[in-house]
Amino acid sequence: MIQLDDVGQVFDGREGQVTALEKIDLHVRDGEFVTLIGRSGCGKSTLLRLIAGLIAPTTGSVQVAGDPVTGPRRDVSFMFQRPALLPWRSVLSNVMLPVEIDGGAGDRGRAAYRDQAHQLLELVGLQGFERRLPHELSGGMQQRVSLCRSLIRDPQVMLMDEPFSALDALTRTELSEELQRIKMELSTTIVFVTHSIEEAIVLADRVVVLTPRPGRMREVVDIDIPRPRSLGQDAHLTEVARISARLHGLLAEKAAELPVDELRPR
Amino acid sequence: MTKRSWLTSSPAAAVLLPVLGLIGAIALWWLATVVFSIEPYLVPGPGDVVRKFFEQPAYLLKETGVSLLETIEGFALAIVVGVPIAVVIVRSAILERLVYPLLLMLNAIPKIAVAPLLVVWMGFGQWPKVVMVLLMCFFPIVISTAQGMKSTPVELVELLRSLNASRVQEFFKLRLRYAMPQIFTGLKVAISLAVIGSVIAEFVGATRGLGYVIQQSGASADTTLAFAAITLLSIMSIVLFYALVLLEHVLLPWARETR
Repeated sequence: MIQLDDVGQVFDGREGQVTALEKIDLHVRDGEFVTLIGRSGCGKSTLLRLIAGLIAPTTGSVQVAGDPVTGPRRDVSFMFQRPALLPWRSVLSNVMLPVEIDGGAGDRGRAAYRDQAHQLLELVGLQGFERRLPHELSGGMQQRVSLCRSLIRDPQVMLMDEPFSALDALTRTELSEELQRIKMELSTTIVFVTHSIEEAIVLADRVVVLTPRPGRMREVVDIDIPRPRSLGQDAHLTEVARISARLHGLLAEKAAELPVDELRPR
Repeated sequence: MTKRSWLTSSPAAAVLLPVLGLIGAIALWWLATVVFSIEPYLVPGPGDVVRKFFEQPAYLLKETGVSLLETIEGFALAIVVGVPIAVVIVRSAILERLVYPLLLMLNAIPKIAVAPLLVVWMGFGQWPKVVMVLLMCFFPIVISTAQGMKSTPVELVELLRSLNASRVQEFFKLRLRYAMPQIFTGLKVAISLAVIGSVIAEFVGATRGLGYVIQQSGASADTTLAFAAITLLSIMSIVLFYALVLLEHVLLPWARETR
């Protein structure tokens, strides 16, 4: 579904050029749930924005569903760290925003989308809140609305940029369970950025570990713990703990401990 | 937390207190004219002013109507001119640098000095008044609109980008809407200036309006009439201000809580 070949990203910083990403080769299969994990500054958000078509890669190629990415696509949705709801719009109207931007309904008719919006809101437990304004909701509820908005156009790919990181621990656990529940009903491919190791493990089919400055793929870890998993109850399972320890090790390694051939100047 | 008295919390008090303040001020005014026995041709008492109004209510209301119309027309024109200028400023850094000093300069000109020129250019009709109102009040509208649009949060802009929204959609569905509370702040500043603008314009080369009434009453030493006209102007200004407050309340119910 998503194919990244030798992708690199260089930004012009204040002190010359900054290499945000280097030599990224990644294939995300149809319906797969991949989490990207790394320290801040490892370019994980940049990688997500490349797939979203919000920025263009300096080198290499990005493909979604077999087509090179040239800009934002209709079948790819993006979810942000903050709910990013329009404060003057009701919950329902916020969920419908992508359909509206599309210039109406396309092949399905607006009423059908409206029904779907109601269903999605029910799915995340927000029935009865359709007419409320965002400021009347808690942070967790706002992020649920944001989740519904990113699902309204039945995306093939969902890109999620630390969507639960601004929430308190309990809400975060609930939302990650809800996301898994939704994911099990849909065939959507998900790439999820996080800096929480537990979250990365509990959600993912595969965890991609990135190292910072320049962002490079350190390792890809398969997670085969049976679903549904819970950030709350399963977080201390031996398997989770084992993988968590390994990821901690990978993320903590300093440059000096990397194999010598990775340090050679390119 | 300290206990809040009903004077700060109840909606009735929110109306009652300003009224009480106003009555107090009028009472002091009246007391001063009585105690110091000030001649009405210097400072008339509140009773004299009210009596003066009821001597010729139709005339005074008609002149109020003239000033009100000029004010609203100039104010509307200022919105029509000011908002697009703000859009241009936000859109293009080059145009901002090009236009901004000119706007500042235009705003810095003492408007009273321009008033006779406007008469020379546009005659004695309504136009010089409308243009004067425009000159007085377009600047706060431009500034607040530009500031409001610039303050749109990046994540909302990025959201619209990720949805492949056009520039036009980004403007109408996001930036302009997001700027509305700040635009209203600018409008509330501008509306009082608009009333002042209409009076300034009517001082010079006018035959109608409350500004003209004030000027004429000065010439004939009819201080009481001047006071009546000034009172009407103040009432007009306050009513227009609260009309905007009401409009904001109705149009932007979200803004009270989110900002």
